[in-house]
Amino acid sequence: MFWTFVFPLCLGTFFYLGFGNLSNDNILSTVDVYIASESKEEQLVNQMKVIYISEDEPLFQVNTEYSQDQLENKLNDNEIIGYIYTKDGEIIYKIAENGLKQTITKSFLDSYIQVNDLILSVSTSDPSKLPVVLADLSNPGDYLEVAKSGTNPKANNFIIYFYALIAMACMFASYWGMGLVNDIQADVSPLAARVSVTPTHKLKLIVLYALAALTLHFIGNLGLIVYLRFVLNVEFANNIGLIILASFVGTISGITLGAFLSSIIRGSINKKEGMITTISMVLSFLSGLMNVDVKYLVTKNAPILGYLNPANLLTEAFYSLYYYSDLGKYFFNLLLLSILSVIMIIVTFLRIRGNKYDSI
Amino acid sequence: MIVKLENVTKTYKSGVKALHNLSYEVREGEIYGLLGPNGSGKTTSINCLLSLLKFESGNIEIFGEKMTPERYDIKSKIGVVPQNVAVFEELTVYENIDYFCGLYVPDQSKRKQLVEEAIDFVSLNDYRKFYPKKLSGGLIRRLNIACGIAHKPSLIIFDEPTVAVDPQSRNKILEGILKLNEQGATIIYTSHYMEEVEQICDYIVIMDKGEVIKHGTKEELKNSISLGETIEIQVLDPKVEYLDLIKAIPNVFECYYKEEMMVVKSGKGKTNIPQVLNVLSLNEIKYGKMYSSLPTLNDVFLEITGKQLRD
Repeated sequence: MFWTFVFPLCLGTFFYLGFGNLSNDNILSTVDVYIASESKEEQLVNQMKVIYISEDEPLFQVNTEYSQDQLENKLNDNEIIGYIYTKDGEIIYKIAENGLKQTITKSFLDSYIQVNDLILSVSTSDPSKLPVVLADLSNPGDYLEVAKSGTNPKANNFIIYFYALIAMACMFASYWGMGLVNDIQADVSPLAARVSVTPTHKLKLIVLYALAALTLHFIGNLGLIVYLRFVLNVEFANNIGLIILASFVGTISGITLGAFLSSIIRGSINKKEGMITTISMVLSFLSGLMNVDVKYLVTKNAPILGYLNPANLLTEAFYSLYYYSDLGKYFFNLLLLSILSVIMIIVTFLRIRGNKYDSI
Repeated sequence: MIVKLENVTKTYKSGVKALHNLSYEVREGEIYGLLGPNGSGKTTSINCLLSLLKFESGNIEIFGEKMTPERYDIKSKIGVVPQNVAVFEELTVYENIDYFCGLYVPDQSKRKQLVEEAIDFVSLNDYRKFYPKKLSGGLIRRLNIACGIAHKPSLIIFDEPTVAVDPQSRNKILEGILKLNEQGATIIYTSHYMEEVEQICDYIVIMDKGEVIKHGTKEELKNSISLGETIEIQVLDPKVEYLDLIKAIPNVFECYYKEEMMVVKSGKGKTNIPQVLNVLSLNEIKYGKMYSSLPTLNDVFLEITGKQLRD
């Protein structure tokens, strides 16, 4: 109950209080960006120059006068907050310490790299679609829209954290899923053993328990969304219905994930709880719920992990609403999430149906 | 036969052999007692019976049919009162009974009546809105029982239902079991308390180390051992040579001191009290209190295994 109803609201409030202390100026002042002269990419520079916070205020002030060695010295002397260079064709942003401006720059670079990858991918797989893609990309895009819509200081650049919060709240449903199996799998608890000797079919029990868990947890998630939107005034743009849909599918996947893990992990309830908490945290971490860079690294180096990670599919769905306004990608991720949930619940049922145990 | 276990052998992964060629049969309408010390295999045999545990070999039939985890038709006629209290902490007394009854009886109006009867039966009327945490040990055991019997099963398995229960609640539970039996239910009752088994069971299986070591009615079991009578005498000035004087009495086969009491064990036949008193008087041995008792199931267990039931 705590993880379902209380914790997300507390965390949402903490986010709000934390980000609320950042003034509009702090968030949206021009960022000085240094690119090593030998690594200067016209396309990158041009892209950075076309983004404006307001009509006469650019988001990035790009400087390409210094070499990498000079920039390194400046960084060491704390004259600059970071610089960009390329190594083996890879764009690297080196910083001395984390900060808001560094995050904004890094977010832009991530988007830039993703867009380039997309163009490369389309030009190889289906060149006929390239003009359409380029036409789409010639639009300054969502990033600029986000930067320009600076009327809500509590949202905008930090809204992504509230999406992450909803995604994490969905993953907390795994505790319900674990409880579901714990109440049915005879070797876990005396209560489950008692339920196992009744004439009610295991599949019926799983479905009924899962529906009850879904109802309760989804109500909790709806409460969280309403709280974020109408109490904390977090702007979710115009996609509140899609957020609720993703939250619904996410809750189902959270429950099935917990049930699945609980059915394959042998041991006491405490052991299962510990394992599920750990695994959920790792999945959340890998999906970038705690640090967006991790998500990018996984997507780049081990994309299959992303498709098998329910937390990642959920955040992908949310990010596609936020970053790309791409409903195709949004629904694709929800479809994958649904398929994964069905697989997990089938495995759960196969694991616990008609089972006899070595010991209880 | 309502229940038939045939040569069931069960070894845990740890290597512990819990059941070894265990066989027993429960007839309709009887209260069948499984008596044995902790670890003797009583609960394991019940869990095998209910298809919760795997076993290597043997056969189990209930109501004449082979028992498997998917035999929901058989399960619907069985009530189980587990050794460990198994109720939902989040539900009240009424809700718990209703929930478990609901797993057997989908019809809501019928269930309502059954739940009321179960609450009456275990005398929990005043506690129907209480949560388990608020109940005493005795009351929570009664709730545990109500959850297992509310659907009026024809076979009820009680697995050590009186563990950690005060004497008053224990008597209520035993009276309830007798009443259920009078109403037509066949009962399997496991316990390591010989007094309880002796008090309510028609037929008793004594188990040790996963095997049946003796079975029969309580009279048959007691008659099966050599002990006929145990006399205990409070000797005021206990001396070792007195033991030899008593042992010389015909039919007495054992005599020893247990603290300040002299324990005299004799074989079947007439009581030896007059002869023992005669020896005491003739030898001017001063004595105080004296008790005589007939063999108990503990004596049966002791004679067969050489250890006490509660060891």
